[in-house]
Amino acid sequence: MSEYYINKLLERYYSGIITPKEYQELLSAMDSAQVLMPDLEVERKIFMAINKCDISVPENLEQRLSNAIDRRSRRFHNTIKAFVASAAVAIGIIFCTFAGYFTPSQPDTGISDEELWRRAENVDAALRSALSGLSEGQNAGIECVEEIKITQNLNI
Amino acid sequence: MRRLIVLFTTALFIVTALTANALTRSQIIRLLAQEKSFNVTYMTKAMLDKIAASKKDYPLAVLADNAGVNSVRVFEFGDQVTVDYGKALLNTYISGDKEADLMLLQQQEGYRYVAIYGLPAQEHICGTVLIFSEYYNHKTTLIIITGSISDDTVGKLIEAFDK
Repeated sequence: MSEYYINKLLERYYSGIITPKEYQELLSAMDSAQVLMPDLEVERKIFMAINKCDISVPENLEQRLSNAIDRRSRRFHNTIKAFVASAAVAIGIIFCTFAGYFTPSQPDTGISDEELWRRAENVDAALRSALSGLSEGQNAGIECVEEIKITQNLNI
Repeated sequence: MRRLIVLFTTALFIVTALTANALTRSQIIRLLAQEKSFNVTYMTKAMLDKIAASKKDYPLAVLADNAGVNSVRVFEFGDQVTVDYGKALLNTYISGDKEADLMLLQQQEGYRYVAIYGLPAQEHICGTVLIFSEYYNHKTTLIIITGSISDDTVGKLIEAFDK
């Protein structure tokens, strides 16, 4: 085969338009040619290196690729689920905080609010009766005993 | 026969109660409970805390939360019989094992008598505070506050109601 024709086939090969028959012709010419022009010699070395090396396809490559794609896709879905769950929890916390669910609950008294306030008013009135005007009494010069001795039978 | 024994025991109890020099606290309470002009109001810590939570500026709020108060009881005596029982009840507290501190006393004969006693639990802390008040035209009262009550709390209490 002439070097001109080899160059033509190489052009078609690198352009990706070479037919299978032309490819076989090119391969045969490159393999069998004894002396070529220097630049064509370089092309031959490259061509033979590419086309003669045996590519071994690992076993179950297709299945492994498919599994890897599935895993990646699952991881992505899990990330989405985790994000949605976190967002839901955050929204729940914000809602409960503003709705007052986390405010401390009032102590359980065991009686109704009405009864509670009735007792509070009674105690308030009693304390007011006992303690109001104490400072006025002192200022008005009511007799004051600062300290008395406590005896067993105090007679008030 | 059985009825006679029961009647005799009850009569003996009443006579003992009336003539004994020192009635016990529970005996006095039992006698008071039979009187119509006697009234008692009881508030627990939880009740005081709830009041304070509802109305922070309510005077009773000084006794809530960290004031150290466990309970407040107010005994109101409407006639002379119950007043005498009230005085006897006060006596059972202040003449007990722990020497009572007289924290405040104000009196004007025929008009007003107020005494505040503290039964000390530790230094500057009272386990019980008793406020006895006789005031013209008002019911005689005995207020018993229990817990771990500091002098500061008593001061705040007087300040809150001395208006």
